[in-house]
Amino acid sequence: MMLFQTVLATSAQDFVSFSQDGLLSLVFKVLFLLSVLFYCIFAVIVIRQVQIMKNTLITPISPLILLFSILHLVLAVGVFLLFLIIL
Amino acid sequence: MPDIFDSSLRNDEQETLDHQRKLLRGIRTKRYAGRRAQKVVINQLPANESTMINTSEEASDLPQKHKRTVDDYSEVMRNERPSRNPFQAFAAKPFRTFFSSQHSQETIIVVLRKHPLTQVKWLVIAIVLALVPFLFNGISILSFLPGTYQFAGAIIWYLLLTGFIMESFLTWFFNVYIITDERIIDVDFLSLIYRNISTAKIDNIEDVTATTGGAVRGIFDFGTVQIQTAAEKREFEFEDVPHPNRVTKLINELILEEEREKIEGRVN
Repeated sequence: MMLFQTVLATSAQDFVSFSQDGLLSLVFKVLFLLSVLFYCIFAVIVIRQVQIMKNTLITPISPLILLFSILHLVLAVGVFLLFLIIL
Repeated sequence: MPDIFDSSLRNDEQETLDHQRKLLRGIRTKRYAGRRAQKVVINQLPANESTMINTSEEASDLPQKHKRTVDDYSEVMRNERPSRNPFQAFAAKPFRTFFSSQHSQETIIVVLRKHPLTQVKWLVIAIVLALVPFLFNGISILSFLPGTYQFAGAIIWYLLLTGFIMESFLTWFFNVYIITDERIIDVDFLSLIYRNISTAKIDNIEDVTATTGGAVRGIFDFGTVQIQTAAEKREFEFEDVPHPNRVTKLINELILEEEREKIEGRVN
């Protein structure tokens, strides 16, 4: 909650000064997007890892773990799209 | 005349006949149980996993055994209920649990993982990291950025935290030590893409040692079981597993059963 308050309180004040440095904002936007993109690649590797693990040790909850890893990738992709929109 | 036909040796002959009858009865019972167990294993596996049942060369390398069930020869397992909890660190006779190189006649006796207490460290780290954005809200390193960027920074922080938690959990859950009625298997996932599976037959086990050091390990009964083998991998180490003494006793019972099988000629 405090974080959201910070976002609201400072966004108006910082928007003017930050937008004056268009290049700086672009750099940070690219940095953030690249971070999330790398994380998406990591999420894909996690899915592959879970598949290998699931084939090595078969348990009743292995499909559930695979589902969580897929949801994890969906979340990462969703965050990437969100950053494309809001940043 | 051979002694077996001599009526003066009536008692011995009767004992021999009784013994033979028991053996034959036992063999028939085991054959039937073996066929039933095989059907259960095949039925429980999903259709796409059926290739794991090695019916050709690898299975034929295994001697066809007239096996007793683990409850027959193991006092440890006789006192253990089949485990239905997939998160148990000491899962005896686990329900619907298999591994990739498992033979059709092989039965998993126990699946071991590190004691849950050994995972407290990363759990505490995860909780602390989750609270960091709230604890250091006033002195954020991204305070010079607009609010949306600070919000994005927080999202990336929690995303990385999610990845950390997932990796820690997967490492704990899938790094297992499996004891079957024929082998011991050590499954290690050392990193994202590195997998190491070591197996050794029960026949090749030479020495088993259980080590419990420290107050916490003593109170919560977990420790390390070291197994010396004559296999390619000379030493197996089951680190921080629950009930190490029980594990040692179980392995010793399995070794005895293997020797008994050889002596009684139940291995063809």
